[in-house]
Amino acid sequence: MSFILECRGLTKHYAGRPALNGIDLQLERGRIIGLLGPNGSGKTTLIKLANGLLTPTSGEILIAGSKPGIETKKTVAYLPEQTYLSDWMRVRDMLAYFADFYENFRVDKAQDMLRRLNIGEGDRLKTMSKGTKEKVQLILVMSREADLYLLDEPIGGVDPAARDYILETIISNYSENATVLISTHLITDVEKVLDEVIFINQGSIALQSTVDEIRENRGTSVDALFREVFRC
Amino acid sequence: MLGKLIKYEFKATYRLFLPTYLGTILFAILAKLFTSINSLATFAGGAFMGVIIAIYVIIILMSLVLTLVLIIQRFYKNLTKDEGYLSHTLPVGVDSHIWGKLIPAVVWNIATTVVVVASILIATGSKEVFDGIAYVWQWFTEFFAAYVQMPLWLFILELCIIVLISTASSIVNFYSAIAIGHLFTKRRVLMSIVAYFGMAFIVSMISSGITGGIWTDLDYTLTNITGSTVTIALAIYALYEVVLAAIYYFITRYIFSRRLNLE
Repeated sequence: MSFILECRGLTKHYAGRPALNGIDLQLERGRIIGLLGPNGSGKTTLIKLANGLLTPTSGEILIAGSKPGIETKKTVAYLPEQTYLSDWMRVRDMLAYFADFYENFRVDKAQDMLRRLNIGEGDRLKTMSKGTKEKVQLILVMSREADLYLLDEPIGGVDPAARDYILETIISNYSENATVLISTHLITDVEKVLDEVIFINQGSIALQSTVDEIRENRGTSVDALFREVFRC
Repeated sequence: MLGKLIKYEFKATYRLFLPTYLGTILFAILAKLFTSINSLATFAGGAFMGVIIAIYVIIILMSLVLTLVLIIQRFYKNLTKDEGYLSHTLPVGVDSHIWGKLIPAVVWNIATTVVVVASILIATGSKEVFDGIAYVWQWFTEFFAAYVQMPLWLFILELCIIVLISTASSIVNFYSAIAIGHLFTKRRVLMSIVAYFGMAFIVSMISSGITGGIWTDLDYTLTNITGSTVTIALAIYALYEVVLAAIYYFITRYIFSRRLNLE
């Protein structure tokens, strides 16, 4: 079976400046993977390339063996940093929208999570705080039965209490065959849910390893290793 | 999927168009009411009527501007800004995205035209005006029967088709300018505007070359105009607009499918 995500010599330049430098990467199915790196290291660029929102300068990125396109978009659930919800919509409009466009969207699952976080279906997106909008977006994304979840800073803007619920949601909502890639710099918060980590720095992969390997071989936590690798 | 995109496009835009249309019709009725009951004898009455008419004119201008702005803004925001992060991750092709914006845009354009014309008829309509329209219609019918040998309705139908095609063409022209602006990493809006005027310049150069060539070959005496030459001339113009629209379309399509780089 092909890798759920594979990069071959993937390079992306912005106005001549490299953001990703010939990355080779293979992600297997059934893992929760942390994509860790300082600001501007290329995390978001990599995730946007996987969604076809950016065009590679050279090299290629494959989702289950195919280039990003209509077919891959059916199986990839993406949470961007941006708020992409339309202001005029209510929560229930967004549920209908997702159900209309994504066959793998489970409305009941989303409704359940919304209730848990006290977000009403009649609430208007216009009047919501940024944190609440982020929660709504995460719920929409996690309510899809996708093969690959690409979550860009999913817990950056929400309070610690909601953070725990969101992480719990992420672990409990994906099937055995699915892979979750979480980009973040809040390592201590996510460390406990990760199977594997990728350290990315200045557009290159600095390390790809399982969390167990790090603990056993180096006798340190992911957070401590991160601080060591990325010492300023 | 195209049907769903169109449905949501209408959902996102009708909330702005319907109130504008209602306002346009409402003020046309008010303008009509005040001009018919209010004599200009008193200063206050005249001033009040002036205000109503001024508001009515502003509302008409607003609905025209709103149509143009919304058509451009919806495409720009929904496909190249933050909302694009959702639009471009839907399992939908680029063609559906373009048609999904273009079809509602053409419909709103037609609707605005109909509403504005209807409101002007409401505001200024009187027996004399309608008699005048009937007289002009009669005159044209006879003119066409005598000199053009084609029914007036056929000519009007052909004109409507041309207006429809050139409306669509001018909208895709805006889309292609936005797409070209998207090729740049900085100052994308500015570059879109530059692209728009650049394309307008190139098109006017080419079209004046073409028409210059045709005009010299044609004989313009009125006796040579027949129904079929009118239809042929309009068909050539329609074809020209279709070719332009196709070029704009493929520029847009190429950039969004091969050169997408959301900020």
